[in-house]
Amino acid sequence: MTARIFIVDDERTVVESLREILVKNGFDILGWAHNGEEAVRKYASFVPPPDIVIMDHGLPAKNGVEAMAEILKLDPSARVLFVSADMNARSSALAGGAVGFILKPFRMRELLATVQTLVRKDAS
Amino acid sequence: MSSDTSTYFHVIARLVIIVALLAAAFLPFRRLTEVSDSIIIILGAVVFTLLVFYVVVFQADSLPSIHSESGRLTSYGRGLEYTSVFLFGLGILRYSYLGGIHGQSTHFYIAAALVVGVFGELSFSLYSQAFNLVNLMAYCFEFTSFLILFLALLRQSVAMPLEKLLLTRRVHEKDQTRLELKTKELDEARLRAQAHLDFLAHDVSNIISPIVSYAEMLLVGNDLTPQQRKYADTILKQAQRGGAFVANLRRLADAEAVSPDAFVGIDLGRVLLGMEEVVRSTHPTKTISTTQDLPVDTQAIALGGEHVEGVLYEIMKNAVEDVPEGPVKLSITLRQVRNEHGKRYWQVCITQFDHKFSSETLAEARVIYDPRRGIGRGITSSYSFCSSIVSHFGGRLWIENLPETDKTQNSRVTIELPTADTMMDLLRGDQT
Repeated sequence: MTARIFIVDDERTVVESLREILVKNGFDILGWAHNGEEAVRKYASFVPPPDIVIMDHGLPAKNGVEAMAEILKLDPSARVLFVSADMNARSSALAGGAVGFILKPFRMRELLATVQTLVRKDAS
Repeated sequence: MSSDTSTYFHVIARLVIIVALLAAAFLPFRRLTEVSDSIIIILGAVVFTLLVFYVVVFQADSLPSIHSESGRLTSYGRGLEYTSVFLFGLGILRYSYLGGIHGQSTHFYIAAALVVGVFGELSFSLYSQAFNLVNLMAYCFEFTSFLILFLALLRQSVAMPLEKLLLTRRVHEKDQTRLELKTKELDEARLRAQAHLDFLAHDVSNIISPIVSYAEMLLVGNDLTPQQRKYADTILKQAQRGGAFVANLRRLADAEAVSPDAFVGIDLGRVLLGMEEVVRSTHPTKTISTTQDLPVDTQAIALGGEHVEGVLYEIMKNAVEDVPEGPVKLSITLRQVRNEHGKRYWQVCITQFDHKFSSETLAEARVIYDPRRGIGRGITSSYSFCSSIVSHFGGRLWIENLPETDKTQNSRVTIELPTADTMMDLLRGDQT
């Protein structure tokens, strides 16, 4: 089964590029959100939930770490991978339950390898 | 004791006052200060008083009579009064002159006191009996004269210095408030600059991220001509350089914003122990194997807090990302060393096996980023920024390729950070 991914980033071009990379490499994009509140609301509406959430940190309304905390409250098995330009958010993201942290600008193969590793771990 | 005795005392006292005032008015300024500070003045006054007392009380017969039988002053007595008037006149002229030269109102006050004193002396010269109107007026004039004199001296010696002191205090308080305001403005400006840089770093990274992604997508396709491939590759590399530069600049600005009194300690051993796990979490696809040689029974405390931790992460990240395929093999050692002056430093050596720094990276790492000298070659090297951050906390960082052995090439990054006691010496300005 194809892994289903939910993208959260306020930068539309970043969402678009992530979507293209992942779709071209065989992943299914379940949806996207541009702020923290929208992310939590949309996550709650997905049945079944996405396999991986790609989360930015510097989001309007609710930042990435706060949004992740609410998502993990709704679904403790959620796997949130942070892709952020804010290096200072790394420790709080990992401490808050993120499964990985990739710093922007990222290399495509790094992103794909990370997502694939997470999907494999999920399957096993 | 006759009425002459009291009159003699009175006349001599007024003569002494006017002679002293005249002496003070004619003495040079510097000499006046020396004389007024001298004990001789007090001793002289005491001796003179005793002498007057002795002559007037015990040798009264040898002095000419001041009062006639009718009670009026004798010509000798009037002569003494006129002498006083003359001296008062001299005093008035001298103090008015001094007031005009120095522009000080105190001199005019003294001159005014002497003018009133002249009227007092003239009234005394008309003395006929103790309780007549002229005598009463003479005492009134004398009282007024002394009142003006004392007010002038009180104003000059006490009120004016106190007023100057209060004025100085007010100026000092104003300066203090102005300084506090400027410091506050500077702090706010620094915070604003930091916030702008944070936004800049964040947004530039967000802008660059899709450029990197799309350039990579072009490069993985097979439909590019060699020329187009070259262009896409250049776009990718330059975008990455730009992103790295902004991120490093922000990291350096964060570190340099920390003043020495706010340096936070860091346990290097604990950080290095956990660093491998942190790098694994950010690079889950990489195989990383490390050997660590850390002190077991000593806490390796250096200053620099999260900024030094960030440098260690950056070095580990670079080590991992410099190896596109295959395992990353690292050896981390932490030990205490002494420099040529005997100062103690914590030395962290991160050796990477089967790895070699390019000559370009080595050259770039030697360039210290310094905005005062302008931006030169090497600004995008994260080692250059890491080196600047480490030097902000009193240490140094360098990279090198180790001599080749058995056809294997290894590289090493070394960081030396002052121990807590060495850092205290450095902050005190003791460089030796």
